[in-house]
Amino acid sequence: MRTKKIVVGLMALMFLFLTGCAWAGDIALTSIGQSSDSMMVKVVLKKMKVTPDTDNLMKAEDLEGKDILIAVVGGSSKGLGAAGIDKDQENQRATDLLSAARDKGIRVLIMHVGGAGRRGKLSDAFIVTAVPFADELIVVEGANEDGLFDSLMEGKDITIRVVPNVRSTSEPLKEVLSLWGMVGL
Amino acid sequence: MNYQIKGSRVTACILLALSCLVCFVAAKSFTSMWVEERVYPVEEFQQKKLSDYFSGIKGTPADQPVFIQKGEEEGGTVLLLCGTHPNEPASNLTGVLFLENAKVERGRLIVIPTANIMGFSHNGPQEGHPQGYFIELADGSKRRFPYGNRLSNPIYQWPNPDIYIHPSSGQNLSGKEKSNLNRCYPGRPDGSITEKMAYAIVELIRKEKVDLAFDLHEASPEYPVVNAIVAHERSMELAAMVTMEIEAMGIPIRLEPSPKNLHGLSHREWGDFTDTMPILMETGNPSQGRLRGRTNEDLVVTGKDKCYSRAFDLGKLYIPYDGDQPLSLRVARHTNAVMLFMENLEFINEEKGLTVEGIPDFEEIVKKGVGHFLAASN
Repeated sequence: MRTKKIVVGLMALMFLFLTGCAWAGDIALTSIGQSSDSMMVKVVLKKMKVTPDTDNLMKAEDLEGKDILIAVVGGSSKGLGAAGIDKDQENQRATDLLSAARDKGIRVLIMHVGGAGRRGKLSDAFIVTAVPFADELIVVEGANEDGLFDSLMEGKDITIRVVPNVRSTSEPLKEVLSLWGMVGL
Repeated sequence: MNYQIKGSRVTACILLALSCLVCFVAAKSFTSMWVEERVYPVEEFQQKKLSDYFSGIKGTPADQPVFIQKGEEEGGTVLLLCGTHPNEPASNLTGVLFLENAKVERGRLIVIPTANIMGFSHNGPQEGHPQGYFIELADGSKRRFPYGNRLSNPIYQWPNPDIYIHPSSGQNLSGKEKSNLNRCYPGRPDGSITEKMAYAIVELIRKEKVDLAFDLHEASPEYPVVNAIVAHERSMELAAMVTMEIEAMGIPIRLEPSPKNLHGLSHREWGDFTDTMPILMETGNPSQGRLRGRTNEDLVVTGKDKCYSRAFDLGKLYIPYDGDQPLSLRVARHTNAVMLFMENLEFINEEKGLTVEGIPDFEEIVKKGVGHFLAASN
């Protein structure tokens, strides 16, 4: 009986492996702009029982073995100061990381969860850098009133998933991660 | 060309007398602020002194009341530090609101309503700020509150150096920051009077084993870190949970990390030098902003300012500004956030929950005005 259970378990694991399903450990979470918005997304994921590898200063080499990259965009001068980097260095890190993800075939989910309050000169610089790399995009209401996200996604067959607040990102997150083969959500 | 002075001994005496009169009136006005703010805590609060935690400030102007209320059920300990900057009135008023309404059922609540008590006895030179403001109470009467200065009164700490070298980090700051409580943490037992006061507060956090500590502030509407929560990395997960709840209520808020290389501030040093989870919060206060026009009591209480309306239209503000920013709204923001933090504390540590009843919710404070919930002065 016990052997039977083990065999069934192993077969299930093999099935998931062969069908390319992602596991929580295969997901990377980072900030683009060093705001704390990525922490809020981490809390939403935690409630979904998903624990991604999180590093707000993630580099291209940290993507090894990852299937999904979630990049939360939003500039914070306090955050940049805390990280000891400037806007240009952060923009360069974002470009390198997102380019590496694209080259490695890692799916990229871009999220902007700060609404209108997380727009402005500093944040916009990071939005312009990151959004064109998006395979899926989740935006909290208020951020796209001037159509910036629409214009950056022009020509791409991707629908911007707009939600009223950060808490509501759990639904589109679940949709996107399920779409990309993540199991157990 | 020769000028002949037309004065005489009589005119000299008149001028001297007029100068004395101006000095007398100015001095009387200046000293009229040397009155400690009266609060009327609910009877469940026990009063202690800050010097109970560091005897080095006993008998000095830095010593002040500390109010503690313990619930029947064991739980966490929360510190509400208000009035760090006495020109940020929503902070002090939130503390008074808790003191005069809170019923703690689980855990312990510690309230310090006038953290930099030495800043409440004067106001900023050349700022044109009022010395106080009135809040209308539920019975229609008015209660006066002091409007002070960001820095400790120079009669207690003077002069300041050109450059303040923050003792524990060696960071260089403008000299006047030596009188700024929120640049002096973790403080020094043998430092300036403001540094000693900072040290006493840190000692309180340590000795009372404070789990969650708030430092309430206000900021100029044109300053990027406004309508914001600033969290030490230890508090970040809890802060993220609360930020999402506040945002879901439709209240604009942003979450910012405490920079590791910015020293002297509560959100950094309380976390680095004690075991507490520090949180600093900011609301938008037009009466302390640089873009403000006429500066008077009305601006403090209503936040109405034509210059800020114009600045908002030009996209220069970091708060939604629809012609005003009432003090009641700012107190409601702080109160609501503090309550949400306390409610969520047990999700971080199950044994450290805190239950406080009797505090009005956001809508009530905005609708009825903060004065509706304050005790009548007597």
